[in-house]
Amino acid sequence: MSIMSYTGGTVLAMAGDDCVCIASDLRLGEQMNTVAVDQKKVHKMSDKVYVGLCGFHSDAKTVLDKIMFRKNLYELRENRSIKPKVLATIISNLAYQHRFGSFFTEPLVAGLDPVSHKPYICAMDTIGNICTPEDFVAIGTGAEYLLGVSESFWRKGMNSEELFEATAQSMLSALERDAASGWGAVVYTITKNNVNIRTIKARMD
Amino acid sequence: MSFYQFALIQMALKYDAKHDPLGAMRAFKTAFADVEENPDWRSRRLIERQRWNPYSMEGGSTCAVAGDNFVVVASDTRMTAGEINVINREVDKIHPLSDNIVLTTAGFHGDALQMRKLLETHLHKYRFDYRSNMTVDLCAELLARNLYYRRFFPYYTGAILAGIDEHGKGAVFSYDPIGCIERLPYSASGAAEPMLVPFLDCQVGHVTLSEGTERPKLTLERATALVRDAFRGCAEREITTGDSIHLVIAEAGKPIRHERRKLRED
Repeated sequence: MSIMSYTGGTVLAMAGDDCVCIASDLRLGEQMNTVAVDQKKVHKMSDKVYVGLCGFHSDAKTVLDKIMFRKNLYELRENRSIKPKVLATIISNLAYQHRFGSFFTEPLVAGLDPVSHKPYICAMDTIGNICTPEDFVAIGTGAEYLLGVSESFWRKGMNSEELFEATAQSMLSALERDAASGWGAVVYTITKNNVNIRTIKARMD
Repeated sequence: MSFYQFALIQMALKYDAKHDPLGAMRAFKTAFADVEENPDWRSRRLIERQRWNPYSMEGGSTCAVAGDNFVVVASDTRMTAGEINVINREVDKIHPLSDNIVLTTAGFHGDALQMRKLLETHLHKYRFDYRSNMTVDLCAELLARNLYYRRFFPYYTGAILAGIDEHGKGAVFSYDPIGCIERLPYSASGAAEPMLVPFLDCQVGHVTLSEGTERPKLTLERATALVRDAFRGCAEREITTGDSIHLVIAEAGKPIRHERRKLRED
């Protein structure tokens, strides 16, 4: 078993019409043992920018601290809230600085531009290679399971409710088959005016 | 200078332990590793034989969905070598074995062909001996036994056996390479299995719907449409799956139908 699937966990982000959805499962494990059942892999960075961290949980925590530090420094220096694209670049640089001894975590950024409200989603590998699709990105142990379902559910120009439904259904289907993720999911629906956080029940095992 | 003296000087140059102890150590380690890796007693032919792999993987994926009185079997028609090179775009990976039994495979195509031949032979012999066609349940068990018979040199295929059983209901049997058998309402196998299965879970198994929600009935039209959608999604993301979908539809009391649909052209 690789270190990337040691603790398990899955994150999915989908982009819609002026809204994005980011969902994660709630399981934290140690290979086959479940250690915690309320571990969100999605973290708030600013009002409309969220980051998901999958992979080895210890590294994900370390990376989260480092991202927070750099993001806070940026916001203090610039005196404005961070854009998702800028945050992604910051994380990418951080990851690439550890090119030859990388953190075993794949970061994902999802959010709306604070000014133009344009949706932005991206994921990167452990050394910070950013991938910015227009539809959806998935990372973690269940990424492969997610891709098949999301490919069928996603379509252009979904509103926030449709987007939530697509994200939730994709997530639930993937959790059905991925043993390293599970214990329900939390879905953040980020729109121009608010952020809706919903916890959904899946297979609780 | 005698040959013995010359050899001594040569050795001293290679392992100059006095002036370059680290270099000498490194040279020694390299030589030692080389001897360990290629000992003199291992002939060139032996090395070649040990490196040879009896298996190869031709990619592709396949799935089957069972309904009340029908079964839909689908597969892509691409054959790849080394996950990148497309070597054939019109391969049939679905093998109708009789009027009510369909075998479909993914994985090593050579083994798949051998497996088909084996089952055909058995079915032929059964027909000769008993003057009737084998039921799908029996054929499923036969395949499981034959797979397990080769427990330690398995057929490297993910097989699915589908058909219409003696009650006229659709049947899907899923196997692993060593003959673990399971009758399921739907199944997928091959490179895109992790993408096909959750989709079918959601749309056919309705596992994500809460209790009490009305579930759409699985008609033949719905099943074929779903399978087509599933493969379209996979072709988007999985490189060894593509070119076209080959659908085989078996309905109770009707001959087997074939249908082909193009997938994205890349």
